[in-house]
Amino acid sequence: MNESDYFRPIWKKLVLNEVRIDFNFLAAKILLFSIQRSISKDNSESNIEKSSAEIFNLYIKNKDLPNAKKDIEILLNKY
Amino acid sequence: MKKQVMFSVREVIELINEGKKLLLAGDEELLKQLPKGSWIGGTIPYFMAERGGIMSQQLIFVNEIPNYVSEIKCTTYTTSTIENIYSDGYDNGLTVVIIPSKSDVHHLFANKASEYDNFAIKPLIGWISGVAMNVIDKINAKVFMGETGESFSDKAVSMHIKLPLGKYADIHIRNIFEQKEEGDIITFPKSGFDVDTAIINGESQNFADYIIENNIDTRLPLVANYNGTMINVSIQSVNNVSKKVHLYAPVFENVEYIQAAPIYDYVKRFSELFVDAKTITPLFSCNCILNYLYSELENKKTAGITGPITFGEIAYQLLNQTLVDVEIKDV
Repeated sequence: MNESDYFRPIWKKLVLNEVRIDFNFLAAKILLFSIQRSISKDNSESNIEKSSAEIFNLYIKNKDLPNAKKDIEILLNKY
Repeated sequence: MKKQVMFSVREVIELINEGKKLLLAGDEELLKQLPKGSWIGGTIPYFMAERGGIMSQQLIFVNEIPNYVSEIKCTTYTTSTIENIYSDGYDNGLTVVIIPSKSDVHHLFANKASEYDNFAIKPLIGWISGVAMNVIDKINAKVFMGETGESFSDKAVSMHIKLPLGKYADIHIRNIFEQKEEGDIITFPKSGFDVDTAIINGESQNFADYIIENNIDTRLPLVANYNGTMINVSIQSVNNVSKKVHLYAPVFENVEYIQAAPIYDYVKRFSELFVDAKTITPLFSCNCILNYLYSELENKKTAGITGPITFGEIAYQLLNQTLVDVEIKDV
């Protein structure tokens, strides 16, 4: 995973709940839940963009951790 | 032989004077006797100890930070600064926080943590300190900042731990509860610790009336599904006069909750969650006082996992009726 993966549509799909996976990374489950709550209150383009960046940021900072790696494999290869 | 976790005051003083970095849990009268040093602590007299669940006002529960940790910073947080708890953590690290039960900082953290910068980005684990059940309305829970020797009933204390490159903190939420199959779907129009109106299967109803009329077992928490992880909100009390239900954590507006399915063998259920109990070595773990009381865990073990029994658990955010633990692993 690298910085250019930020531009892939998967992050927006995740925050908009258009894609669901069996997450392995606990922090992602918790963060995404909070993000989805935030978007349900404010679905402006700016909030969606900010939220996409947050979940991407979580994964890229933790890309070497085993559970994050498993999620990234699914997110980048299947979608 | 099981590793020692309960220590006398004299033994803890020795550890502190040796320069050990410690996470402590114990009765206020014991923690008050400790010298300054690299430690944080919280009040509680219930523990899951080496031999099982105990109540003790003579011994202190000790978690020792490993020697390979060369840098920590201990910080207090008020209601004005708790929003920085995640950001203040090391880039590669773990933050342990202890917050006094019923304090304003407890309620603020519970309600607002998900809005703080770096929420869930930096690992956070911890617990809500408490007191003995027989003095719950008489004495305030406290936290201790070992570096200064101060104690607080209105601030949180934290230890930010810097981990060496190649190690990371792996936090687990171990929830024995699952949503009841075909249970009522409950949402709340407003977030908070105190609720009156609920939307139950699409219909608006007073939540206290719903609980009383349906003879709901309030020992079973409400459960929300956070992308596959079950998160509890425990019921503290139902007031039939004010028609309010008081909770041990806030519910969040428009989140779907289903009450938990009953559990008939708590000890067995904990064992099922810890199939790897013989191989895991948590740096820190804690379990909820409600699990201790409702499961009657005194003198019983939870798969060999030890830790303070707490008035709330923290794994990224506030949790209820849950066991949390963190292991430090190699990348």
